[in-house]
Amino acid sequence: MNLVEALGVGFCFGWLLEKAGLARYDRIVNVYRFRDLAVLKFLLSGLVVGAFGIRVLVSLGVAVSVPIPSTFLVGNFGGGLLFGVGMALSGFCPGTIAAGVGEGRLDYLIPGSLGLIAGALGFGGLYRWLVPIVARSAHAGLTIPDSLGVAPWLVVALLSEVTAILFYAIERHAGATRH
Amino acid sequence: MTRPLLVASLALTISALAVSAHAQCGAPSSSCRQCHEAEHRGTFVATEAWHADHAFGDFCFDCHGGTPTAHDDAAHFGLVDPLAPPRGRCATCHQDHPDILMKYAGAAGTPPEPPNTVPAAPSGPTSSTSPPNHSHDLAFSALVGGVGLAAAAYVVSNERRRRGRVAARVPARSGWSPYLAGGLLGIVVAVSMAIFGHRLSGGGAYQELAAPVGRLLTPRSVYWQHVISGTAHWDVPILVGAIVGSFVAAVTSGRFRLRTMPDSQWSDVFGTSVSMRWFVAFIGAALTEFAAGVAGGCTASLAISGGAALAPGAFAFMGGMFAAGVPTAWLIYRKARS
Repeated sequence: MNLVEALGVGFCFGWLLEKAGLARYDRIVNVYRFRDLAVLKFLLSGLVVGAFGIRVLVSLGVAVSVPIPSTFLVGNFGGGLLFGVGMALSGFCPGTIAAGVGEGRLDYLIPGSLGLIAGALGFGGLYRWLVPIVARSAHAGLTIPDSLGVAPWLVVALLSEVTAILFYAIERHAGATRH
Repeated sequence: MTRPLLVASLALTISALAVSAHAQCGAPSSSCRQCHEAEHRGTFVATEAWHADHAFGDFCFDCHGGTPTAHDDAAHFGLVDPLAPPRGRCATCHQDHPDILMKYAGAAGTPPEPPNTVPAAPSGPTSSTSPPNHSHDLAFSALVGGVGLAAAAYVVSNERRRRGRVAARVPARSGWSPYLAGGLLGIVVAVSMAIFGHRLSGGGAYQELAAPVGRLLTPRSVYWQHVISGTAHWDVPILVGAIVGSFVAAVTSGRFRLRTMPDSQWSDVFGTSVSMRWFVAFIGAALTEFAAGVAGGCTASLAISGGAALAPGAFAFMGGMFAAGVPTAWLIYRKARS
Protein backbone atom coordinates (compact mmCIF):
# COMPACT_ATOMS: atom_id res chain seq x y z
CA MET A 1 0.00 0.00 0.00
CA ASN A 2 1.56 3.17 -1.27
CA LEU A 3 0.19 5.52 1.37
CA VAL A 4 1.44 3.39 4.27
CA GLU A 5 4.86 3.01 2.63
CA ALA A 6 5.18 6.76 2.11
CA LEU A 7 4.02 7.56 5.63
CA GLY A 8 6.51 5.05 7.03
CA VAL A 9 9.42 6.42 5.00
CA GLY A 10 8.44 9.96 6.00
CA PHE A 11 8.12 9.02 9.66
CA CYS A 12 11.64 7.54 9.71
CA PHE A 13 12.99 10.57 7.81
CA GLY A 14 11.53 13.07 10.28
CA TRP A 15 12.47 10.95 13.28
CA LEU A 16 16.11 10.65 12.18
CA LEU A 17 16.45 14.33 11.23
CA GLU A 18 15.18 15.33 14.66
CA LYS A 19 17.35 12.81 16.50
CA ALA A 20 20.42 14.00 14.63
CA GLY A 21 19.61 17.58 15.64
CA LEU A 22 19.33 18.77 12.05
CA ALA A 23 16.17 20.77 12.65
CA ARG A 24 18.38 23.47 14.15
CA TYR A 25 19.47 26.69 12.47
CA ASP A 26 23.05 26.59 13.74
CA ARG A 27 23.61 22.96 12.73
CA ILE A 28 22.74 23.63 9.10
CA VAL A 29 24.56 26.94 8.79
CA ASN A 30 27.72 25.78 10.51
CA VAL A 31 28.41 23.08 7.95
CA TYR A 32 29.10 25.94 5.54
CA ARG A 33 31.44 27.51 8.08
CA PHE A 34 33.22 24.21 8.71
CA ARG A 35 32.35 24.55 12.41
CA ASP A 36 30.01 21.57 12.69
CA LEU A 37 29.99 19.03 9.91
CA ALA A 38 27.00 17.00 11.17
CA VAL A 39 25.04 17.75 7.98
CA LEU A 40 27.85 16.45 5.80
CA LYS A 41 28.31 13.35 7.96
CA PHE A 42 24.59 12.64 7.93
CA LEU A 43 24.26 13.24 4.20
CA LEU A 44 27.22 11.14 3.12
CA SER A 45 26.40 8.32 5.56
CA GLY A 46 22.89 8.15 4.14
CA LEU A 47 24.19 8.32 0.59
CA VAL A 48 26.76 5.56 0.96
CA VAL A 49 24.59 3.20 3.00
CA GLY A 50 21.74 3.89 0.58
CA ALA A 51 23.94 3.14 -2.43
CA PHE A 52 25.15 -0.05 -0.81
CA GLY A 53 21.64 -1.07 0.17
CA ILE A 54 20.25 -0.44 -3.30
CA ARG A 55 23.00 -2.57 -4.85
CA VAL A 56 22.30 -5.38 -2.37
CA LEU A 57 18.58 -5.31 -3.12
CA VAL A 58 19.19 -5.19 -6.88
CA SER A 59 21.68 -8.07 -6.67
CA LEU A 60 19.24 -10.12 -4.62
CA GLY A 61 16.69 -9.54 -7.33
CA VAL A 62 14.09 -8.07 -4.99
CA ALA A 63 14.36 -4.54 -6.38
CA VAL A 64 11.41 -3.41 -8.44
CA SER A 65 12.71 -0.38 -10.31
CA VAL A 66 15.12 2.20 -9.00
CA PRO A 67 14.08 5.76 -9.83
CA ILE A 68 17.24 7.51 -11.01
CA PRO A 69 17.09 11.30 -11.07
CA SER A 70 18.00 12.80 -14.43
CA THR A 71 21.37 14.37 -14.89
CA PHE A 72 21.32 17.81 -16.50
CA LEU A 73 24.47 19.38 -15.17
CA VAL A 74 23.54 23.03 -15.79
CA GLY A 75 20.37 22.61 -13.75
CA ASN A 76 21.83 20.30 -11.14
CA PHE A 77 24.77 22.58 -10.42
CA GLY A 78 22.98 25.89 -10.94
CA GLY A 79 20.10 24.76 -8.76
CA GLY A 80 22.64 23.56 -6.21
CA LEU A 81 24.18 27.05 -6.11
CA LEU A 82 20.81 28.72 -5.41
CA PHE A 83 19.97 25.99 -2.94
CA GLY A 84 23.19 26.57 -1.00
CA VAL A 85 22.46 30.30 -0.74
CA GLY A 86 18.95 29.63 0.55
CA MET A 87 20.19 27.06 3.05
CA ALA A 88 22.97 29.24 4.42
CA LEU A 89 20.55 32.17 4.77
CA SER A 90 17.67 30.39 6.44
CA GLY A 91 19.35 27.45 8.12
CA PHE A 92 17.03 24.84 6.71
CA CYS A 93 16.15 22.94 3.59
CA PRO A 94 12.74 21.61 2.56
CA GLY A 95 13.20 18.31 4.43
CA THR A 96 14.40 19.82 7.69
CA ILE A 97 11.48 22.26 7.67
CA ALA A 98 9.18 19.28 8.31
CA ALA A 99 11.44 18.15 11.14
CA GLY A 100 11.50 21.67 12.60
CA VAL A 101 7.72 21.86 12.50
CA GLY A 102 7.61 18.61 14.50
CA GLU A 103 9.86 20.20 17.13
CA GLY A 104 7.47 23.12 17.51
CA ARG A 105 9.34 25.75 15.52
CA LEU A 106 6.89 28.35 14.29
CA ASP A 107 9.45 30.07 12.06
CA TYR A 108 9.62 26.79 10.15
CA LEU A 109 5.87 26.22 10.15
CA ILE A 110 4.66 29.63 8.98
CA PRO A 111 7.24 31.62 6.96
CA GLY A 112 9.16 28.44 6.12
CA SER A 113 6.25 26.53 4.63
CA LEU A 114 4.81 29.61 2.95
CA GLY A 115 8.21 30.39 1.47
CA LEU A 116 8.49 26.87 0.07
CA ILE A 117 5.08 27.18 -1.56
CA ALA A 118 6.05 30.59 -2.95
CA GLY A 119 9.25 29.11 -4.34
CA ALA A 120 7.33 26.25 -5.92
CA LEU A 121 4.91 28.72 -7.50
CA GLY A 122 7.81 30.75 -8.81
CA PHE A 123 9.40 27.72 -10.39
CA GLY A 124 6.10 26.57 -11.85
CA GLY A 125 5.53 29.98 -13.36
CA LEU A 126 8.98 30.10 -14.96
CA TYR A 127 9.03 26.40 -15.90
CA ARG A 128 8.36 26.98 -19.58
CA TRP A 129 11.33 29.30 -19.92
CA LEU A 130 13.67 27.75 -17.36
CA VAL A 131 13.56 24.07 -18.17
CA PRO A 132 14.59 24.31 -21.83
CA ILE A 133 17.66 26.22 -20.61
CA VAL A 134 18.72 24.14 -17.61
CA ALA A 135 17.71 20.76 -19.02
CA ARG A 136 19.10 21.26 -22.51
CA SER A 137 21.36 18.25 -22.24
CA ALA A 138 19.39 15.94 -19.98
CA HIS A 139 20.47 12.35 -19.53
CA ALA A 140 17.53 10.40 -18.23
CA GLY A 141 18.44 7.57 -15.94
CA LEU A 142 22.18 8.08 -16.35
CA THR A 143 24.40 6.65 -13.62
CA ILE A 144 28.12 6.99 -12.97
CA PRO A 145 28.86 3.28 -13.66
CA ASP A 146 26.95 3.54 -16.97
CA SER A 147 28.88 6.55 -18.14
CA LEU A 148 32.21 5.02 -17.15
CA GLY A 149 31.32 1.57 -18.39
CA VAL A 150 32.18 -0.13 -15.08
CA ALA A 151 30.21 -2.31 -12.69
CA PRO A 152 27.98 -0.45 -10.20
CA TRP A 153 29.58 -2.30 -7.28
CA LEU A 154 32.95 -0.83 -8.16
CA VAL A 155 31.57 2.70 -7.91
CA VAL A 156 29.83 1.87 -4.62
CA ALA A 157 33.04 0.45 -3.23
CA LEU A 158 35.12 3.44 -4.30
CA LEU A 159 32.49 5.84 -2.97
CA SER A 160 32.45 4.16 0.43
CA GLU A 161 36.22 4.15 0.59
CA VAL A 162 36.49 7.84 -0.27
CA THR A 163 33.77 8.65 2.27
CA ALA A 164 35.45 6.55 4.97
CA ILE A 165 38.72 8.37 4.39
CA LEU A 166 36.95 11.74 4.49
CA PHE A 167 35.19 10.86 7.76
CA TYR A 168 38.46 9.65 9.22
CA ALA A 169 40.16 12.91 8.25
CA ILE A 170 37.28 14.94 9.72
CA GLU A 171 37.33 13.12 13.05
CA ARG A 172 41.10 13.22 13.24
CA HIS A 173 41.07 16.95 12.64
CA ALA A 174 38.28 17.44 15.18
CA GLY A 175 40.17 15.35 17.71
CA ALA A 176 43.35 17.33 17.10
CA THR A 177 41.68 20.70 17.64
CA ARG A 178 39.99 19.61 20.85
CA HIS A 179 43.24 18.70 22.58
CA MET B 1 36.62 11.70 -22.53
CA THR B 2 33.54 9.93 -21.18
CA ARG B 3 31.14 12.01 -23.17
CA PRO B 4 32.05 10.75 -26.67
CA LEU B 5 32.12 7.29 -25.12
CA LEU B 6 28.68 7.82 -23.69
CA VAL B 7 27.31 9.16 -26.93
CA ALA B 8 28.82 6.25 -28.85
CA SER B 9 27.41 3.68 -26.45
CA LEU B 10 24.01 5.34 -26.51
CA ALA B 11 24.06 5.38 -30.31
CA LEU B 12 24.98 1.69 -30.35
CA THR B 13 22.20 0.79 -27.94
CA ILE B 14 19.71 2.87 -29.85
CA SER B 15 20.62 1.43 -33.24
CA ALA B 16 20.49 -2.10 -31.88
CA LEU B 17 17.13 -1.45 -30.29
CA ALA B 18 15.87 0.31 -33.39
CA VAL B 19 16.67 -2.73 -35.49
CA SER B 20 14.83 -5.03 -33.12
CA ALA B 21 11.84 -2.76 -32.62
CA HIS B 22 8.73 -3.21 -34.64
CA ALA B 23 8.36 -0.94 -37.59
CA GLN B 24 4.63 -0.50 -37.32
CA CYS B 25 4.94 1.57 -34.14
CA GLY B 26 5.86 5.22 -33.91
CA ALA B 27 4.21 8.11 -35.67
CA PRO B 28 6.10 10.09 -38.31
CA SER B 29 5.37 13.25 -36.38
CA SER B 30 3.11 13.74 -33.39
CA SER B 31 2.02 16.89 -31.69
CA CYS B 32 3.73 15.56 -28.53
CA ARG B 33 7.21 16.13 -29.87
CA GLN B 34 6.19 19.27 -31.71
CA CYS B 35 5.07 21.03 -28.51
CA HIS B 36 7.30 19.43 -25.91
CA GLU B 37 10.54 19.42 -27.82
CA ALA B 38 10.46 21.63 -30.89
CA GLU B 39 8.54 24.40 -29.15
CA HIS B 40 9.91 23.73 -25.66
CA ARG B 41 6.49 23.94 -24.10
CA GLY B 42 7.36 21.90 -21.05
CA THR B 43 10.25 19.63 -21.89
CA PHE B 44 9.91 16.29 -20.21
CA VAL B 45 12.79 15.15 -18.08
CA ALA B 46 12.47 11.39 -17.95
CA THR B 47 14.06 9.47 -15.15
CA GLU B 48 13.35 5.86 -16.03
CA ALA B 49 15.25 3.43 -18.25
CA TRP B 50 12.16 2.43 -20.21
CA HIS B 51 11.65 6.05 -21.13
CA ALA B 52 15.22 6.64 -22.23
CA ASP B 53 15.20 3.43 -24.29
CA HIS B 54 12.25 4.64 -26.34
CA ALA B 55 13.54 8.16 -26.89
CA PHE B 56 14.99 7.34 -30.31
CA GLY B 57 11.68 7.65 -32.10
CA ASP B 58 8.29 9.19 -31.78
CA PHE B 59 6.63 6.63 -29.54
CA CYS B 60 4.98 8.99 -27.07
CA PHE B 61 1.45 7.93 -28.04
CA ASP B 62 2.22 4.23 -28.01
CA CYS B 63 3.07 4.31 -24.31
CA HIS B 64 1.30 7.38 -22.97
CA GLY B 65 -1.87 7.48 -25.03
CA GLY B 66 -3.37 10.92 -25.55
CA THR B 67 -4.45 12.60 -28.75
CA PRO B 68 -1.34 13.18 -30.86
CA THR B 69 -3.26 14.93 -33.61
CA ALA B 70 -4.35 17.82 -31.42
CA HIS B 71 -2.11 20.84 -30.95
CA ASP B 72 -3.76 22.35 -27.89
CA ASP B 73 -4.84 21.11 -24.47
CA ALA B 74 -6.95 18.44 -26.15
CA ALA B 75 -3.70 16.67 -26.99
CA HIS B 76 -3.69 15.51 -23.38
CA PHE B 77 -7.08 13.86 -23.56
CA GLY B 78 -6.83 10.14 -23.14
CA LEU B 79 -3.44 10.07 -21.43
CA VAL B 80 -2.84 6.81 -19.57
CA ASP B 81 -0.24 5.39 -17.19
CA PRO B 82 2.27 3.61 -19.46
CA LEU B 83 3.33 1.16 -16.75
CA ALA B 84 -0.08 0.39 -15.30
CA PRO B 85 -0.31 -3.21 -14.17
CA PRO B 86 -0.37 -5.92 -15.22
CA ARG B 87 1.37 -5.31 -18.56
CA GLY B 88 1.41 -1.58 -19.08
CA ARG B 89 1.01 -0.30 -22.61
CA CYS B 90 4.03 -2.27 -23.80
CA ALA B 91 1.91 -4.79 -25.69
CA THR B 92 0.59 -2.13 -28.07
CA CYS B 93 3.90 -2.52 -29.93
CA HIS B 94 5.51 -5.61 -28.46
CA GLN B 95 2.63 -7.95 -29.26
CA ASP B 96 4.81 -11.03 -29.27
CA HIS B 97 6.30 -10.16 -25.87
CA PRO B 98 3.39 -9.23 -23.68
CA ASP B 99 5.62 -9.59 -20.59
CA ILE B 100 8.34 -7.24 -21.80
CA LEU B 101 7.46 -4.94 -18.92
CA MET B 102 9.41 -7.39 -16.77
CA LYS B 103 12.59 -6.43 -18.62
CA TYR B 104 12.57 -3.12 -16.84
CA ALA B 105 11.40 -4.60 -13.60
CA GLY B 106 14.28 -7.11 -13.64
CA ALA B 107 17.10 -4.83 -14.70
CA ALA B 108 16.20 -2.19 -12.17
CA GLY B 109 18.45 0.80 -12.06
CA THR B 110 20.62 -0.25 -14.98
CA PRO B 111 19.88 0.00 -18.68
CA PRO B 112 18.79 -3.33 -20.08
CA GLU B 113 21.92 -3.75 -22.18
CA PRO B 114 25.31 -2.40 -21.21
CA PRO B 115 27.21 -1.07 -24.25
CA ASN B 116 29.65 -3.97 -24.49
CA THR B 117 26.97 -6.63 -24.64
CA VAL B 118 24.76 -5.02 -27.25
CA PRO B 119 23.98 -7.65 -29.88
CA ALA B 120 25.32 -6.32 -33.16
CA ALA B 121 22.47 -7.69 -35.23
CA PRO B 122 19.78 -9.33 -33.18
CA SER B 123 18.93 -12.63 -34.78
CA GLY B 124 15.56 -12.69 -33.09
CA PRO B 125 13.65 -10.42 -30.79
CA THR B 126 14.06 -12.95 -27.97
CA SER B 127 17.73 -12.01 -27.54
CA SER B 128 16.81 -8.60 -26.25
CA THR B 129 14.54 -9.95 -23.53
CA SER B 130 17.04 -12.23 -21.80
CA PRO B 131 18.72 -10.45 -18.89
CA PRO B 132 22.41 -9.61 -19.35
CA ASN B 133 24.91 -11.80 -17.55
CA HIS B 134 26.79 -9.89 -14.87
CA SER B 135 28.34 -12.77 -12.97
CA HIS B 136 31.95 -11.78 -13.70
CA ASP B 137 31.29 -8.18 -12.88
CA LEU B 138 29.56 -9.26 -9.70
CA ALA B 139 32.39 -11.48 -8.49
CA PHE B 140 34.99 -8.83 -9.16
CA SER B 141 32.94 -6.11 -7.60
CA ALA B 142 32.11 -8.19 -4.55
CA LEU B 143 35.85 -8.57 -4.04
CA VAL B 144 36.46 -4.85 -4.31
CA GLY B 145 33.43 -4.14 -2.17
CA GLY B 146 34.71 -6.55 0.46
CA VAL B 147 38.04 -4.76 0.60
CA GLY B 148 36.20 -1.45 0.84
CA LEU B 149 34.02 -2.72 3.66
CA ALA B 150 37.01 -4.06 5.55
CA ALA B 151 38.70 -0.67 5.20
CA ALA B 152 35.56 1.08 6.41
CA ALA B 153 35.28 -1.32 9.36
CA TYR B 154 38.88 -0.63 10.27
CA VAL B 155 38.29 3.11 10.14
CA VAL B 156 35.17 2.81 12.28
CA SER B 157 36.81 0.63 14.92
CA ASN B 158 39.85 2.89 15.02
CA GLU B 159 37.51 5.83 15.34
CA ARG B 160 35.63 4.31 18.27
CA ARG B 161 38.84 3.52 20.08
CA ARG B 162 40.15 7.04 19.58
CA ARG B 163 36.86 8.66 20.39
CA GLY B 164 36.74 6.73 23.67
CA ARG B 165 39.78 8.73 24.74
CA VAL B 166 38.45 12.06 23.52
CA ALA B 167 34.92 11.60 24.81
CA ALA B 168 35.86 12.49 28.37
CA ARG B 169 36.87 16.02 27.32
CA VAL B 170 33.98 16.80 25.00
CA PRO B 171 30.67 17.83 26.54
CA ALA B 172 27.91 15.47 25.45
CA ARG B 173 25.88 16.80 22.55
CA SER B 174 22.19 16.33 22.51
CA GLY B 175 20.93 13.89 19.92
CA TRP B 176 22.29 10.95 18.00
CA SER B 177 25.54 10.69 16.14
CA PRO B 178 25.02 11.99 12.60
CA TYR B 179 26.81 8.89 11.32
CA LEU B 180 24.29 6.61 13.02
CA ALA B 181 21.23 8.64 12.03
CA GLY B 182 22.52 9.08 8.47
CA GLY B 183 23.33 5.40 8.14
CA LEU B 184 19.85 4.43 9.32
CA LEU B 185 18.40 6.89 6.83
CA GLY B 186 20.49 5.14 4.16
CA ILE B 187 18.65 1.90 4.90
CA VAL B 188 15.34 3.72 4.62
CA VAL B 189 16.48 5.28 1.32
CA ALA B 190 17.54 1.90 -0.09
CA VAL B 191 14.18 0.31 0.75
CA SER B 192 12.26 3.34 -0.50
CA MET B 193 14.16 3.46 -3.80
CA ALA B 194 14.57 -0.22 -4.64
CA ILE B 195 11.45 -1.78 -3.10
CA PHE B 196 8.90 1.02 -3.08
CA GLY B 197 10.31 2.59 -6.26
CA HIS B 198 10.24 6.19 -5.01
CA ARG B 199 12.85 8.68 -3.94
CA LEU B 200 12.99 10.14 -0.47
CA SER B 201 11.35 13.52 -0.75
CA GLY B 202 11.71 16.87 0.95
CA GLY B 203 10.54 19.63 -1.34
CA GLY B 204 8.27 17.62 -3.62
CA ALA B 205 5.28 17.86 -1.32
CA TYR B 206 5.30 21.65 -1.50
CA GLN B 207 5.09 21.54 -5.28
CA GLU B 208 1.98 19.43 -4.83
CA LEU B 209 0.61 21.83 -2.23
CA ALA B 210 1.32 24.77 -4.53
CA ALA B 211 -0.35 23.08 -7.51
CA PRO B 212 -3.96 24.12 -6.70
CA VAL B 213 -2.82 27.74 -6.41
CA GLY B 214 -0.77 27.41 -9.57
CA ARG B 215 -3.73 26.00 -11.48
CA LEU B 216 -5.84 28.86 -10.21
CA LEU B 217 -3.32 31.49 -11.34
CA THR B 218 -2.40 29.92 -14.68
CA PRO B 219 -5.06 27.38 -15.60
CA ARG B 220 -3.46 26.48 -18.92
CA SER B 221 0.03 25.94 -17.58
CA VAL B 222 1.40 22.62 -18.78
CA TYR B 223 3.49 22.49 -15.62
CA TRP B 224 0.62 22.56 -13.17
CA GLN B 225 -1.63 20.47 -15.37
CA HIS B 226 0.68 17.70 -16.41
CA VAL B 227 4.13 17.86 -14.90
CA ILE B 228 3.34 18.15 -11.25
CA SER B 229 0.17 16.12 -10.93
CA GLY B 230 1.67 12.67 -10.75
CA THR B 231 3.32 12.22 -7.38
CA ALA B 232 0.86 13.55 -4.82
CA HIS B 233 0.32 10.02 -3.57
CA TRP B 234 3.95 9.80 -2.48
CA ASP B 235 5.44 13.21 -1.61
CA VAL B 236 2.62 14.58 0.52
CA PRO B 237 2.36 11.54 2.86
CA ILE B 238 6.17 11.71 3.19
CA LEU B 239 5.80 15.28 4.46
CA VAL B 240 3.01 14.30 6.86
CA GLY B 241 5.02 11.31 8.07
CA ALA B 242 8.14 13.45 8.56
CA ILE B 243 6.28 15.99 10.70
CA VAL B 244 4.75 13.24 12.84
CA GLY B 245 8.08 11.38 13.08
CA SER B 246 9.92 14.49 14.17
CA PHE B 247 7.15 15.33 16.64
CA VAL B 248 7.32 11.89 18.25
CA ALA B 249 11.12 12.05 18.40
CA ALA B 250 11.06 15.54 19.91
CA VAL B 251 8.41 14.73 22.49
CA THR B 252 10.01 11.48 23.61
CA SER B 253 13.38 13.17 24.08
CA GLY B 254 11.95 16.29 25.70
CA ARG B 255 12.89 18.69 22.92
CA PHE B 256 9.42 19.76 21.84
CA ARG B 257 8.80 23.43 22.57
CA LEU B 258 6.86 26.06 20.65
CA ARG B 259 9.27 28.82 19.64
CA THR B 260 9.48 31.55 17.06
CA MET B 261 13.26 31.92 16.79
CA PRO B 262 16.33 29.69 16.39
CA ASP B 263 17.77 28.53 19.73
CA SER B 264 21.25 29.91 19.24
CA GLN B 265 23.63 31.83 17.02
CA TRP B 266 20.99 33.55 14.88
CA SER B 267 20.80 36.67 17.04
CA ASP B 268 24.59 37.10 16.93
CA VAL B 269 24.34 38.37 13.38
CA PHE B 270 20.68 39.10 12.66
CA GLY B 271 19.55 40.52 16.01
CA THR B 272 16.60 39.49 18.14
CA SER B 273 13.80 40.73 15.90
CA VAL B 274 11.26 38.00 15.17
CA SER B 275 10.06 39.70 11.99
CA MET B 276 13.64 39.74 10.68
CA ARG B 277 13.92 36.00 11.26
CA TRP B 278 10.58 35.29 9.68
CA PHE B 279 11.41 37.45 6.67
CA VAL B 280 14.75 35.74 6.06
CA ALA B 281 13.16 32.34 6.68
CA PHE B 282 10.56 33.08 4.01
CA ILE B 283 13.14 34.26 1.47
CA GLY B 284 15.49 31.37 2.20
CA ALA B 285 12.70 28.81 1.96
CA ALA B 286 11.48 30.25 -1.34
CA LEU B 287 15.03 30.15 -2.70
CA THR B 288 15.59 26.53 -1.72
CA GLU B 289 12.29 25.35 -3.19
CA PHE B 290 12.83 27.29 -6.42
CA ALA B 291 16.35 25.88 -6.60
CA ALA B 292 15.06 22.37 -5.98
CA GLY B 293 12.84 22.79 -9.02
CA VAL B 294 15.75 23.94 -11.17
CA ALA B 295 18.06 21.20 -9.90
CA GLY B 296 15.51 18.41 -10.10
CA GLY B 297 15.45 17.71 -6.37
CA CYS B 298 16.56 18.82 -2.92
CA THR B 299 18.97 17.49 -0.32
CA ALA B 300 16.77 14.45 0.30
CA SER B 301 15.46 13.69 -3.17
CA LEU B 302 18.53 14.57 -5.21
CA ALA B 303 21.66 14.61 -3.02
CA ILE B 304 20.91 11.55 -0.85
CA SER B 305 18.52 9.56 -3.07
CA GLY B 306 20.19 10.46 -6.35
CA GLY B 307 23.63 9.93 -4.88
CA ALA B 308 22.58 6.52 -3.60
CA ALA B 309 21.37 5.70 -7.13
CA LEU B 310 24.81 6.87 -8.38
CA ALA B 311 23.35 9.62 -10.55
CA PRO B 312 26.03 12.14 -11.59
CA GLY B 313 23.55 15.00 -11.15
CA ALA B 314 23.42 14.39 -7.40
CA PHE B 315 27.12 15.10 -7.04
CA ALA B 316 26.89 18.20 -9.23
CA PHE B 317 24.09 19.40 -6.94
CA MET B 318 26.15 18.86 -3.80
CA GLY B 319 29.06 20.66 -5.42
CA GLY B 320 26.79 23.61 -6.12
CA MET B 321 25.39 23.57 -2.58
CA PHE B 322 28.79 23.94 -1.01
CA ALA B 323 30.22 26.22 -3.70
CA ALA B 324 27.50 28.77 -2.90
CA GLY B 325 26.75 27.97 0.74
CA VAL B 326 30.29 28.55 1.99
CA PRO B 327 30.68 32.10 0.60
CA THR B 328 27.13 32.97 1.68
CA ALA B 329 27.82 31.87 5.25
CA TRP B 330 31.12 33.72 5.16
CA LEU B 331 29.42 36.95 4.07
CA ILE B 332 26.85 36.62 6.85
CA TYR B 333 29.32 35.73 9.58
CA ARG B 334 32.42 37.63 8.54
CA LYS B 335 32.03 40.18 11.35
CA ALA B 336 30.51 37.88 13.94
CA ARG B 337 32.41 36.59 16.94
CA SER B 338 30.58 33.28 17.36
